[in-house]
Amino acid sequence: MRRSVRVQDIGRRDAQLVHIEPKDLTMLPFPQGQPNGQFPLKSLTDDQRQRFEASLDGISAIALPKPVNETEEAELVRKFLAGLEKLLSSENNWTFLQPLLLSLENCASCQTCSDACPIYMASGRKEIYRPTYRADILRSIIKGYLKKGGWLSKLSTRFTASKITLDWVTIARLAELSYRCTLCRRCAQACPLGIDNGLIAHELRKVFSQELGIAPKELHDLGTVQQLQVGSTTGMRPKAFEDIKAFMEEEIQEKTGRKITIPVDQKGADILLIHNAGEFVSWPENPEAFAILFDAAGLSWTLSSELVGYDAVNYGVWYDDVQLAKIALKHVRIAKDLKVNRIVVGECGHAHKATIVTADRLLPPELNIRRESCLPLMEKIVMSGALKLCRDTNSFPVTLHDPCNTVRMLGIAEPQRRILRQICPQFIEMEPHGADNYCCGGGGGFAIMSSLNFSDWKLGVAGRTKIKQILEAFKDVASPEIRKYVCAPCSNCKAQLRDLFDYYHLGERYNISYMGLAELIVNAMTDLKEPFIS
Amino acid sequence: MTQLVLYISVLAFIFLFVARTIRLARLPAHLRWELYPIPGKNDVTSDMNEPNGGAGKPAVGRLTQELKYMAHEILLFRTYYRRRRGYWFLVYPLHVSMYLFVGWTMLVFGGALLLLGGFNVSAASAGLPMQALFWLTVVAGGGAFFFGTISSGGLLIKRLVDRDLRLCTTPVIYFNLGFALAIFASALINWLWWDWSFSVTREYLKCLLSLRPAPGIPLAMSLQILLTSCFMVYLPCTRMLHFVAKYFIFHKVLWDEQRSGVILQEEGLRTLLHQTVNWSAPHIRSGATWDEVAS
Repeated sequence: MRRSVRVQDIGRRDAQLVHIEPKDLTMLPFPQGQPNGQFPLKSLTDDQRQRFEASLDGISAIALPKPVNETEEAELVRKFLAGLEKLLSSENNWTFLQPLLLSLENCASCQTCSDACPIYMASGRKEIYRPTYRADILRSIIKGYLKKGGWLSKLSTRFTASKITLDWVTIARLAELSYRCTLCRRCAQACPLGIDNGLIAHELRKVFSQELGIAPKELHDLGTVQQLQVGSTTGMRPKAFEDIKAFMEEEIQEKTGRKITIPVDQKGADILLIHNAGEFVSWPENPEAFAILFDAAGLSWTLSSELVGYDAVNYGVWYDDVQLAKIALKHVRIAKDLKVNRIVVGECGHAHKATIVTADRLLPPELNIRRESCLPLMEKIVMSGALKLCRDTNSFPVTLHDPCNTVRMLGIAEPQRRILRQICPQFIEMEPHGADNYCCGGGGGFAIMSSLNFSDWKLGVAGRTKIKQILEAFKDVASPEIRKYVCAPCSNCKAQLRDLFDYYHLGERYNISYMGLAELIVNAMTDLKEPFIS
Repeated sequence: MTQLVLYISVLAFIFLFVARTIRLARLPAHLRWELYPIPGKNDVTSDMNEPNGGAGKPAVGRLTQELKYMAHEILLFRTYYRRRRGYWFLVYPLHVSMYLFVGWTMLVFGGALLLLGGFNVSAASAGLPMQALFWLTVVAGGGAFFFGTISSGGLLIKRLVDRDLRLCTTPVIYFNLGFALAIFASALINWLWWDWSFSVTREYLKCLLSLRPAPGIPLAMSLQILLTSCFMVYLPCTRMLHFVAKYFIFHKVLWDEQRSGVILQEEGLRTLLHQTVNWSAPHIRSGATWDEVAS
């Protein structure tokens, strides 16, 4: 029987609010039976529980240290309220104020969004993961603590909102709760009124980051701050980038027999291509594939070796408008300095969203350079006849994972499909797909977050629905003798899939692997020394 | 007395409705936050590949698709039907009854105006148009009150018995549904007992429009008018008026992929970029402008 957790329970101090049991999670379609118990969620140690706040669900995403005394607690509460006031002011939050207020003020509380949320459903319908749960807490806090007034106002608050005790426990749980949403926005898509609970989670993260300085270290200190200081969220400095570039050129020659010089800092090129720097470190075959394709297509293009210029990521899009703006402006300034015609974003979903969409209205006219997705460009290359392609080399089952930021935020869902139909004779669609697709569970920064026991949660709960989708897509070719690929044109999705396949043993059980789109295209090229995919 | 209350409530409704709409319209320009699928934007390749570069007014095809989507939602509540069928069986007739109520109001006001012009609006009227008006008014009003009563009562019960809904239902939602039920039920009772032809209502409105004292009406009808007047003042202050918000949600946020060039001309984004940032986290230069902190 499901235990009811109400909105006002967010401040309960007597016990952990929710316990996640593997047996509660949704069933996976393993042919051999239900192995839910084989994927446990690691508990925190006693020492970790003493030091960090994890009383929401026993999981810690942001490793939030507990305050040492009551004074510190009170200060945190004061700052949170100050941040909330700023969030609702046009001076400090013009960036998202209208969408935020529309969502905060017009929810019909019909719960149509709940069934669309992969985390809520996969968790076994745990109340705290409902899209509306954190939004209702926020509404109650705003009504109860920000709207001042006499007895009538207080009465109105009791009538229209839940009574929330605003103390450190509530705020800490709310901070953690803001990192139980991948910002995939399926809830907004499902809502008949267009209420955006993903946006509310995003705005909550902003209060914590921009006012209290609280954010996961992977997103902030090791993310945006590191990127601005040393050039990349991977820690890769310009010298290391040059070394990797040289390595990639050698690999390309070894694999393809072609000597390609990857252009860097070429002024006046048509395209500045920016990859997620994680590709250079973890999957160099992807930027290598781009180099081969662009070379074969005769494009005028370049990479950049400037700080930030070789890393397309912009983690600010998940948690902090100021960091978002800093990195977005860096990218376009580098492009302007190089006098290129356009920026093309490589296979990175959130970079697509940040660079092409979210930053769009931050750019004054003199910096408003064309910013495009690599996917339509790759389609153009494939369909142009510039490449000699043969589908037979990709004759293995392939399914396509649609990154949320490409399909739901940009609407680009068809070019990649047309490419796959052209080059993969055994292309299988997941259901649902396109703009209705499920998040991999790594969205909103989760793919790179691994503090304490958060990894188990992001893989065991957040990514569970994606695993179910993949297994269902491959149900007719499940045998481990058949090598299968999930094509995922997004670096963070690939990171999440890598970890998911490891967690659920999909490699050894079912021979499922993953890769980007560019590699599949190059693998179909007939004039290479050997197949690009080994 | 009821006349005065009705005059005040109508004026209050108009004022509050307009004020709320203006408030939403005056919120500052925001960053792009669209959500696909957007009607009329199938097979998106790139903004720059759009015929107008993604800027300017939408193409004709796009407008047709948007209107089609809106028609499906407004007239059929398609999303609810697809995603939450059980809820649709109650929320759809409730909204249809509201549409019928609005239609009935227009018809009965039209009838009142015709009475002022010396026409006879009844079942025995000479001429098909008058008879049609009469019967349409009866059907619209009866339908609105009947379905409104059933569906508002049904939704009230559903929110009490459905666990998932009960957890998220605050007292004000029960109150709103109760209020709607009271209005529809009282209107239904009045219609069935006192005024099935709406002739009393038309006479009353005729006096309202000509600013003359109305003849005496049954107490039940007076109560219903007071109830409806209170509701008219209350409605714009609640989220029940979400159809206004929906325009902004869809047309100004979720379907708004207008590129920055257009926004800069129309919305003064540059002014926004020159506003001061007051956030206090260590990595933000509080007191600087957005331009400065981002540089």
